[in-house]
Amino acid sequence: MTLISSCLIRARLACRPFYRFYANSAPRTIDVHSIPQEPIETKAEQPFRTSIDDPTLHTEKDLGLFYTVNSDDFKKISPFGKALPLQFREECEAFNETAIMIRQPSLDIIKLIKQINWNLPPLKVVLFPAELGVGMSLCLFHVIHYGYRKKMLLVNTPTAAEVLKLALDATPSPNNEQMWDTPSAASTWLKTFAINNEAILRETDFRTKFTYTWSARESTPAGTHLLDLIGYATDRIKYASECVGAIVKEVKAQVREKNIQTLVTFDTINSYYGPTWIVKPDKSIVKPNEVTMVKALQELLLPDWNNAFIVVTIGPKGIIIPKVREKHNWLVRHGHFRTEHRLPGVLMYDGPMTVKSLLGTEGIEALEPFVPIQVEKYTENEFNNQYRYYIDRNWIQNYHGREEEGRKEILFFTARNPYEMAKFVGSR
Amino acid sequence: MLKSSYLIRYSSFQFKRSFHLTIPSLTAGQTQYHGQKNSTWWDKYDSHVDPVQTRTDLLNMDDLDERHFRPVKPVIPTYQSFSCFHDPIISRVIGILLREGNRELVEELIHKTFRTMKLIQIGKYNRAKTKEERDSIECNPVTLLKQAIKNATPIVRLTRIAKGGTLYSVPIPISPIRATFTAIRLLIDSTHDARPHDQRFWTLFAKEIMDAAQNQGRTIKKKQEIHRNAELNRAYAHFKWQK
Repeated sequence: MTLISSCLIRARLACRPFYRFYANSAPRTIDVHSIPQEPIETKAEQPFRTSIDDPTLHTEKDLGLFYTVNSDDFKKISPFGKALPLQFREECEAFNETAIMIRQPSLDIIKLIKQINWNLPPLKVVLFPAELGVGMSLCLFHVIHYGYRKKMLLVNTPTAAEVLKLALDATPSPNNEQMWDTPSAASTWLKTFAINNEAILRETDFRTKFTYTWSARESTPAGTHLLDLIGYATDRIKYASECVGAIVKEVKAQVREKNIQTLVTFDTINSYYGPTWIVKPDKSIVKPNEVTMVKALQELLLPDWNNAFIVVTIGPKGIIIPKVREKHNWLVRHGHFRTEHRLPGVLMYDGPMTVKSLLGTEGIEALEPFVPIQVEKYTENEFNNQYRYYIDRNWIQNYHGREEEGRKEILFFTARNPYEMAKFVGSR
Repeated sequence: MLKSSYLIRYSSFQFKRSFHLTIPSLTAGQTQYHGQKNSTWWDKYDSHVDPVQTRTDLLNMDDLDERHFRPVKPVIPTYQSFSCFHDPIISRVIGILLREGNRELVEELIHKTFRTMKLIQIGKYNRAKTKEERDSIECNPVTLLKQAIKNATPIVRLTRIAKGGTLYSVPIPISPIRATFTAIRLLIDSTHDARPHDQRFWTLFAKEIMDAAQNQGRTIKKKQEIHRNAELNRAYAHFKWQK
């Protein structure tokens, strides 16, 4: 400050006609001391945490409070750390705990799961954001944690868009020329499924009903345990994507008779109804339903089974922009992308956050009927709790930030958006 | 060669008369402004008074204050801010890192640097068992940065003075403004040298700052080298005042 202003002030000439534009401004000033200052109230400290770490016991009273996820549960639910966004996970590591706020959308979904008639075809709940970064993935994690504690069968796809972005992973399928395999992504999915549901699969003795023929020599007979099947597929990684289809088939067939409640979750499912980054040798783009694993997972969304509950999220993260020459045409058709972004080649979705524009007509047709639930930005109470949580974890280091003035400034800059808040507070 | 000379592409054979306009250092300091001899554009602010710069200043201002009836200098948002998080040293670092006016980018880099430092230090803090252990950990990134700059600040600099047909490197005292600039410059330079190259700038910068705050690392080495060179050329120090 001093450096620059001293540069500006450097005087060369003494005599000069004064500009008196502001000469008449004196009467307009007001006495600042006459403005009544609001005294800062010292409220009785409301709690911002709950000691209840079991999502089955959460009620409306705990709204806006933080609960700590048991580290064993966390490792079981997201063994590869995909279930939560990277930035949030980094912070959790620094805070030495995983604390998630209990919010209205997740409580609503849990309420729905409690009330649902399990004999009907699965109910689909679509979470959509009010704006960028309102914490959909965290809401979804809360629901998944509820399902885990309730001992439901978790069929969980934490980052649905990722498969379609790993172009190097994709290989043509040996059995079907039209299809594309994604071996490593599929084996990760299988491992996640196995780790999530290990206890239930052992307990119910979940065995295959059908025989699967992988090639002329290799096949898996009916009556194999599902964990053995997954173990086989993760060893013979070539058949991993086919095995995802087998798992889906078995789950859909047997969940009813075994009476296991199933929770199917997809994060950013709108990527399944758009283009991908996988490119064929003739430079045309592979559609998502030409990827073996995705096609198998899409069958979970069909209404031809029951004893299941489906929660999906749609968001700007799931919108994939094609990489090859179709990109230009695609951008012309979808006008709401910011092309003049700072990073070359990085485009941000800048359009309306509605179900129609995020999911597209194709996606709506595939998912219908569904219950849309909007995830909104923090309320005043939730903002205060988040702010106090950051202070509690020593995350706000600037001493101004811990005072009332700083709190007001954070509120002003971030407008109660969780992601903006994490970004703003991250460097203070 | 200045980068900006590439902005307007000439064929190398023809040399235009307006070539000097492509080099900012030749255009910035004009010799006339509004027809006044030997004046530049910032001289119009001679008659202006300093703006209100802090909230307390605003509250303590009385009706007879000069700012009510004299023209006031413009407020530069990046250097003079009402934000309670504003720190001049940070805007100094941003200003030194700045390339082609891309301030948003540099602010992001600095914020990510601070975040990286906080992730490391607060991770340690929250995992610490005893209270003494906790008190020994400095978590505030701005404090760490200030400490690093303080540790990296040299006390002398070398200048070149021609005498008897030879150039001598002469150690002379350094002004505080230039010392701070040199310290930040050293920090940034050692970050550019740092390895591995596939790491992000903010990761390496954070490490460099945290090293320098503990009086270790490449930055401190560079400062010591400046001091060593000054020590070697000590015999010529009197050239500063003896011609």
